[in-house]
Amino acid sequence: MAALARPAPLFAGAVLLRLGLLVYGSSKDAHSAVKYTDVDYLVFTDAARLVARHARSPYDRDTYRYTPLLAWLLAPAAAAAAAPALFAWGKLVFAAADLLAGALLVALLRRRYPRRPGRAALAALWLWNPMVATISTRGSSEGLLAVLTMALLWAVEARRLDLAAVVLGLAVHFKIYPFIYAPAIVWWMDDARIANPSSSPPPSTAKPPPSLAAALVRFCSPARLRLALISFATFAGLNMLMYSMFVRSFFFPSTHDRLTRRRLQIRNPLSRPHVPAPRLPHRPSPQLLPLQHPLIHHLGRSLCVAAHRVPRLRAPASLLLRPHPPRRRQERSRHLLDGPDLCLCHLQQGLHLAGKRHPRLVPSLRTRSYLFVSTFFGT
Amino acid sequence: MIFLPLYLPGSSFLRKPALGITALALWAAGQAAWLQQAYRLEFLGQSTFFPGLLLASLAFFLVNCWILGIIVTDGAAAASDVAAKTHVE
Repeated sequence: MAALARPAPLFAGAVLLRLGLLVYGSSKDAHSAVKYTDVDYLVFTDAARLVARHARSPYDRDTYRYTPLLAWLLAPAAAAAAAPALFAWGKLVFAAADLLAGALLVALLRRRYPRRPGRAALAALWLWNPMVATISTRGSSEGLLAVLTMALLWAVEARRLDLAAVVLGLAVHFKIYPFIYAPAIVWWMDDARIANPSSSPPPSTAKPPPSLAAALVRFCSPARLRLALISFATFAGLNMLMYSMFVRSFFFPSTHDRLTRRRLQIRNPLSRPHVPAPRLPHRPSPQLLPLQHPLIHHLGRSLCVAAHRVPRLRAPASLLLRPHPPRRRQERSRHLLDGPDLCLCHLQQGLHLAGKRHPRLVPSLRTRSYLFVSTFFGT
Repeated sequence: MIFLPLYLPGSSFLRKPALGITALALWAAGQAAWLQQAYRLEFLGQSTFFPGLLLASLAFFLVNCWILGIIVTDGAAAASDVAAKTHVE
């Protein structure tokens, strides 16, 4: 047991566990109806192929709702058609991210508990955790978030706050939820922990500030403002950079789907058999060029959907969103049901089915109003 | 889950093994039940939304709330310890 406590066997075990799962996963993918690979992983690799081989936007792959950084990171997987082994590239990246997160974890544990014997066992909770290894080898990108989270904690505890701010901004750009760590960091940054040159009295003798306003001013210390500014600049800078590169498609899927959940996959990303993934590129029509801003487009879509129920809204909706030019037949049929309309259609279908099975649930006034509200916020 | 190794030393779960084992068992059972319902829904295509998935989700949610409550209480106790120490100094 003591031999296992050294880092080398710890990490060797973790690597072996992940490699074993990768091999098991590829054989299960090949021979079983129940696939091992996460459906979102197919979305990543499709987007990587679009970016790397066709120089297109990753958002041309429907249900891709991540940062383009992820697609670029997986670019080598685009060659999977020629070299099938490269299909697992992204899984290797995610598993490596897991291991890196584990290494940061070991560093953090070492700093916190310099002479605790059971440290390796604690690190093994992450490194040898079959659940963690399964998630990353199935091709879920959470391992990258784990690295960023641990790097954030590491940088904060090492008092490298500028680095922490950049990592925080990057993490929030990658996925929104790491912003919940920001308040904890900001609260933690009091004078006792961050040497603040402007406040001369030592923290233990500092009296409580006289008023709320004074407390607020005191709270907004230069270090905290600096953290907020740098992290926000990183986040906003990355967003704007990606937005300017993929103007039309970025805003809609990446941010919006965070609020409305999956746009096409009405049940869950795991359920690929139920909703075939359409791959039609959503091209802007030349007539709409002045209205190409996604916000206006989005507003127009919302109005259009609402106009189905409120005829008075038809005029402004048609002003905002003129009809698309005629398309080829197979495209037209897809076009009838893309994006928000499909979502709405699923919702209505779901209500209809629920009403059939449980007559008491036949869309009452409340569900109807919910439906109406959700057309506004859910398109 | 990645915060677990950083939190566990000195936590209630390690100080009181009975509590720790109960929490682990309940969490694993909740997770297993929830995943089982999800598997039937997603891979076998059975409609398990009601009551299976609902109950499994509720149970898992409550177990998570309970565990988080213990973690938060531990954190509050640690914070008041630190505050007491700095006050004495």
